[in-house]
Amino acid sequence: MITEQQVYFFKTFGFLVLKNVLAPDELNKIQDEFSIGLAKMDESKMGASVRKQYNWTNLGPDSPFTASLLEDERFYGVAQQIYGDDCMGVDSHANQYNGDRSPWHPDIREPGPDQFSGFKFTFYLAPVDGNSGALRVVPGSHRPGFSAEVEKVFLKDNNPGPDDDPGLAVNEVSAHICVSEPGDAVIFDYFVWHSSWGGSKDRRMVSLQYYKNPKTPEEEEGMRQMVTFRKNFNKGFKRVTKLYPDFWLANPNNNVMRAQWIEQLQKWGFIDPVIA
Amino acid sequence: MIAENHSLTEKQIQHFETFGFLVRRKVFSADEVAKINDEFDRHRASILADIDPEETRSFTQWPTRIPENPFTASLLGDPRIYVPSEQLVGEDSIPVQSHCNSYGLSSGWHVDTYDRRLCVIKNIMYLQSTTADRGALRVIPGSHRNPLSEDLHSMGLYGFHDDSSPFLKASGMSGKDIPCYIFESEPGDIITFNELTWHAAFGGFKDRRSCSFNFFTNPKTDSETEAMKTIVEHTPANTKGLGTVGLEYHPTWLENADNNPRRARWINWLEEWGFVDAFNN
Repeated sequence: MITEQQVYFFKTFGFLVLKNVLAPDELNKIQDEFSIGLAKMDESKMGASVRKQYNWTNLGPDSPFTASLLEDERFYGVAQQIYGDDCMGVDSHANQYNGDRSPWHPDIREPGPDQFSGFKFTFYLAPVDGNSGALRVVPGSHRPGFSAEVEKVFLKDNNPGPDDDPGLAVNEVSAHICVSEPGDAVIFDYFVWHSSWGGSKDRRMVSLQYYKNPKTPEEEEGMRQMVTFRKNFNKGFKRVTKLYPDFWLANPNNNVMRAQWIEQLQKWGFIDPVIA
Repeated sequence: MIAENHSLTEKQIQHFETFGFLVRRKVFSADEVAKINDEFDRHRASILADIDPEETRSFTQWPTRIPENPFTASLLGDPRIYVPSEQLVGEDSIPVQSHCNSYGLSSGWHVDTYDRRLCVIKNIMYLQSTTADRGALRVIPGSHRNPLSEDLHSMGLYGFHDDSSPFLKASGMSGKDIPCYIFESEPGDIITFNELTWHAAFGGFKDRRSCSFNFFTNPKTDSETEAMKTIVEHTPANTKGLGTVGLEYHPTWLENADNNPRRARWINWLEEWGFVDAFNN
């Protein structure tokens, strides 16, 4: 659980750093499962952008402990505080980055924040700071007005200006650096502008993702757009398993939260269409 | 990069408008900063001898436009200060205030104005090296705009003295935990920010020094005109509250012996709007 002030912080700035939320033995299990998943990757599965990123689901049989974190109250409880008791746990990914930067971006542009709400927990499995791949965020940039202003800023990597003045490098943008140790979590709104700078060739991050359950016709339309968005987004990753593996959908321990989420994901059409 | 005519690039202007502040590095040389510090030393000593021999004040401020600080007084007429300022708030903008500041404490999160009707910017040059833990100015990018600014007010972040804000007290956080850009600087660097932008400085130390130069938009609309009238009206009380030592516009500066046309325009404007009376009398 987080405090009332932490909820306010998250809603105001679009992110929040939580310290020491995972114990060392839990980190060891996550590392072991991460290594198993990584071993199944080859270069054909690596993203082609400057991130040089492998990305795969944690909901498969090779990572039962990491999969269970999605339905761990320490995490879905925070999502419930922010989005209500009926929020949805929708995904968990493992990411290995081999590039020296992730250019500035929000994770979602459409549907907009008036139609859709979601965030992710990110756990970096090694210490990260401003020059070794820590998440950088522009605080408050999840809001539409500010986001539109940031969108106009010339960025060398992915929104260059004129040749004689192409714009800012990733580390030149005014930002907050989320320094993180293993066991810490950074949660951030999908709409907040974020990036990273520096880092090793084997930078590891695990994420848990939660959505607000739609309440209004506008939010319902936003959720339908998200189904399309994810379907298209996942075409960019050469996955080796289904996004929702049978292992996870079988819900062998009859987890109540998972059962509710599977029902919601099926209702909205996330499960059937999103097949690698 | 600063062009030879000291004007800002499109990229710099865009940065200022988007994030509410702009940093320029090595605007003044080490020799120039040494002159400013020499003048600062002498005048501060003189003020302390006169009004605060026990050095009990946590903040001492005096205007730059005084004959005792001839080099510092000249900075307002230096294109490295006025050219970028005029680009940001208008060619006919006016430097209403310019100060030497000696701080003794940290500054909690605050804004310099709540009035959105009129754009006012502040140029600050710190006269000692600053770091995150030693007095560097912190700014929250984009906080000159709503809804972020209103959210920061609503959450109770405002607290001028260190960690005194209601939000920080309730959360157990420190002012350093608030996400921001940290202007770690060397003397000669300048940060320019919109006075609506939230800012703070932690790790304050005795006689932390800066020079500041505020430029005001010349009012064009009824709303801007009303805002300016309000500022003039509140100026005597605000000046008294800050304890500014000496006249904002010294007679020698108002005399404009060199007939500098820019200064002449500024003086005419300041007299017409009543700032000379409001500050000096």
